Amino acid sequence: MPLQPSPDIEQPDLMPQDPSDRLQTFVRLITQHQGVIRAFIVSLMPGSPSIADVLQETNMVLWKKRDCLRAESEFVTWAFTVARYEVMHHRDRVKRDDRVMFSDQMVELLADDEDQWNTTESGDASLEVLEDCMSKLTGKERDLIEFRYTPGKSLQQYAEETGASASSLRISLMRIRRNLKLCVETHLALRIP
Amino acid sequence: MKQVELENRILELLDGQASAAQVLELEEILKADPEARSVYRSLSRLHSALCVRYEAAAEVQAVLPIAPFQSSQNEKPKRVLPWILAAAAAVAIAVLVLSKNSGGANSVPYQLSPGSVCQVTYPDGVKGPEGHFLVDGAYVELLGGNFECSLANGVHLVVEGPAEFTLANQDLVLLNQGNAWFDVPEVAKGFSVRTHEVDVVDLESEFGVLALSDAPDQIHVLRGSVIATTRIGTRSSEVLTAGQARVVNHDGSLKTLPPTPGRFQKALSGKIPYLHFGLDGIGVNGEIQVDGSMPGASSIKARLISEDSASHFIPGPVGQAISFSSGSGAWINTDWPGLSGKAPRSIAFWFKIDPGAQQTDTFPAAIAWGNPDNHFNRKWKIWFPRDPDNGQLRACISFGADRYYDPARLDDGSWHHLTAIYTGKTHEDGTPDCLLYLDGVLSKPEHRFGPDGPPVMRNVDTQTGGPGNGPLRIGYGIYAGLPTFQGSLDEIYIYQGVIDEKTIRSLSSNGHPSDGK
Repeated sequence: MPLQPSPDIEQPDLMPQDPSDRLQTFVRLITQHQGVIRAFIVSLMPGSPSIADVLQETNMVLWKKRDCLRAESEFVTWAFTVARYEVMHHRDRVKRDDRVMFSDQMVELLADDEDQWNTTESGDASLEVLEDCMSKLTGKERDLIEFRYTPGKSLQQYAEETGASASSLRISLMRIRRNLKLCVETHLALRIP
Repeated sequence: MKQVELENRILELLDGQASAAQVLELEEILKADPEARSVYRSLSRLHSALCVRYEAAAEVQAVLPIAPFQSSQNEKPKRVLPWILAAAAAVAIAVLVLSKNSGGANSVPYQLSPGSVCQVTYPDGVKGPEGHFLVDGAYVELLGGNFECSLANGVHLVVEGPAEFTLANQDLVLLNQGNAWFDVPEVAKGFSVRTHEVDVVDLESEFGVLALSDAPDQIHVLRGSVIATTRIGTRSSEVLTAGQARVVNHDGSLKTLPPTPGRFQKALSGKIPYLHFGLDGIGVNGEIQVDGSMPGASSIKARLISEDSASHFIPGPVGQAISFSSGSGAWINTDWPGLSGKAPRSIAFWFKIDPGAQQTDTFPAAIAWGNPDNHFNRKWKIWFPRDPDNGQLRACISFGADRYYDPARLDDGSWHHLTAIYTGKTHEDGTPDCLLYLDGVLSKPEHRFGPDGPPVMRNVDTQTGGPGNGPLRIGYGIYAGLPTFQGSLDEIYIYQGVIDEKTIRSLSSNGHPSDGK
C-alpha cells in the first residue's frame, strides 16, 4: 500500500487533485517505471515464463487502486509492494509445478532489498544506455542476442544457420551479456555525479 | 566463486536453464553476499531489458492492435520507443477494456453446459454486458463444466473446466489454464492462443491446447496447420500440421506427442460428467463396478477390501447396498485420484447408520480423497463424526481445516440421502462455499475449524495424485490405521460440477438422475 503522508510534512510531489491531470500523471508514472517494475519481477522469478503475466497483473492492480496513490515519490515503493504480492500469489498458484524456483526466504530477501532499486533512477536509466551499448556490439554478437531474445527465434536456429555448435554459442552469449552489463554499469557511473 | 562464474550461473538461472542443485547453490551465495545480490540485480535488469527490447513490438501488435498512448509520448527519445510501447500496452489494456466494454463492441454470446460454474469479470470492476455475452477483455473463470462461444470473426471455441482465460480481443485468447478446442475459419487466419509456455498462431486450422497447472502445455492440430512458438528457454518454433501434437519441454523445445484428438470437447456436453458406484454386488475378485460419463470412468479400478466380501451386501434404496458394519471391517479402495484444486464437485449418496454406531474416538470417512494434513484445505471428505458436546452423530464436509456440519442427528437406523456440494467459490471471510442437502432439502450447515484451527492458507486446494495424497476411498480414511466406516451406503454419484436442485430431488427420491442415467 502507498505510504500515508504525514500532515506535518510538506510534499511538493502530491498527485494532482484534478481527475484528468491525476490520470495523466498516473499513466506517466506507470509508463515511466514499467522497465524497473518488470526487472524487479524478473529478479524474484528468474527463468519463469510468467513474467509478462505477473507484470500485467501488477499493472492491473496498480490501475485499479490508482486513487490510493498520494504522491509521485511513493509510486515505485508502492508498485514494488504490489509486484511482490503478485509474485507470491503466482508462486502459490504454480507451487505444484516442477519448476525450479527460489525459496520463499530468498524471494523475501531480494524483495527486501528493494531500496537498492528504488533509491536511484538507474533502473530506468539503464534502459536508455543499453541502446548505446548494443551499438558497440559486432554484427554477429547482435545477431546472437537477437536470436536468443526474439520470440520465434532460437539459439538452435542460429546454430543451424551458422554451423556453430550450440555450446559455443551459449558461451558466447554469456560473454556478450557480461560485457553488456559492464558497459551499462560504466555508462551509468559516468552519468551519475 | 569467481565473478565470471557467478555471472554465468546467474545468467543460466535467468535463462531458465539452472538445475535445482544450481539454484540452491546460487541461493546460498546470494543470501550470504550483498555484493553477489548486487550483481544479480544488474543482470536481472539487463536480461529484462533485452527481453522487452526484442519482444515489445510483437507484444503490442499481438495484444493491442491500437496503442492509444503512442502519440502522447513524443517527448521521449526515439530509441526508447519499444519501452514506451510495452509500457503503454500493459497500461492501456485496462483503458482499452473500459472503452470497448462501454460501447459493447464485439459482444458475442456464450453458452455453458448444465451445472457449469463460470464467472466473467472485467478489469477495474467494469460491468460487462447483461446475460451470457462477452466483450474483449473478459476474464473467464470456468470452475467446472464446459464453455462454448463463437467469436465475431467466426472462431469457434469450446473450453473444458476448470479453466481460466482472457478474451484479449477477437484474435487472441490468453489461456492461463484449461483444455480448449478452437476451429478457425479462413477469414480469421492468424488467430492466436497464448499460454504461459507457448504461443499458437493459426494458419487456417482446427486445434486443441492444453494449458495445465501441473504439467507442460500441449498443442494438438486436428486440421490445417499452426505455428507453435515456446515462450520459455530456447523459444523454439515449429509449424505443426494435422495429426501432429507437441508438448513444451522444460528447456523450451517442442517434443513430439502421440495425437489424442478425442481429448477435446467440440460441443457442449448436455450433462455434468460423473462417476457412479451402484454398489449392487462385486466381481469374483472383489471388484466394484464403476460407470458414468466422466472420461475414463469405465477403466477406474475399485475393489472391496474385506475378508468376507459377500456378507456386506444388503437390500438398499435402489437394488443392493453395501454395509460396512457387518462382519469384519470393510472398505472400498480405488485408483481414481479424485477432483483436484478448487474444482467444483457434488457428491450424492444414500446412507444408513444405526443408533450407537461409530463410538470410536476417531471417526472414519464415508467418502474421501486428497491430502490428510488438517493444517490446510487439501482434502475432500464426507464423514459422520459425533458432536463432542452432545454425542450426536452429524454429517460433515471437511476440506482439512474448514468444515461444515449438518445440524440434523442422523444415527437413527433409517436410510437418508445426502448431497454435498462445493461450488468452487469462496466467501468474503475466506471460507469455501458449500451446500448440504439432506433428503433433498437444503440444510443450513454450521462452519467450524478443525482441531488445528484455521488453515495456513485459506484457499481450497485438494491435492491429488502425488505422494501422500490418497485416491478415492469409500468407507475409510485417507491414511492407514483408521477404523472403517460403521454404516451402509448406496448409489454414490460423484459429479464434476455443481448439480441443480432438480437433479438432487431426483437422486433423493428415485435414486438416479432425472434422465434415468
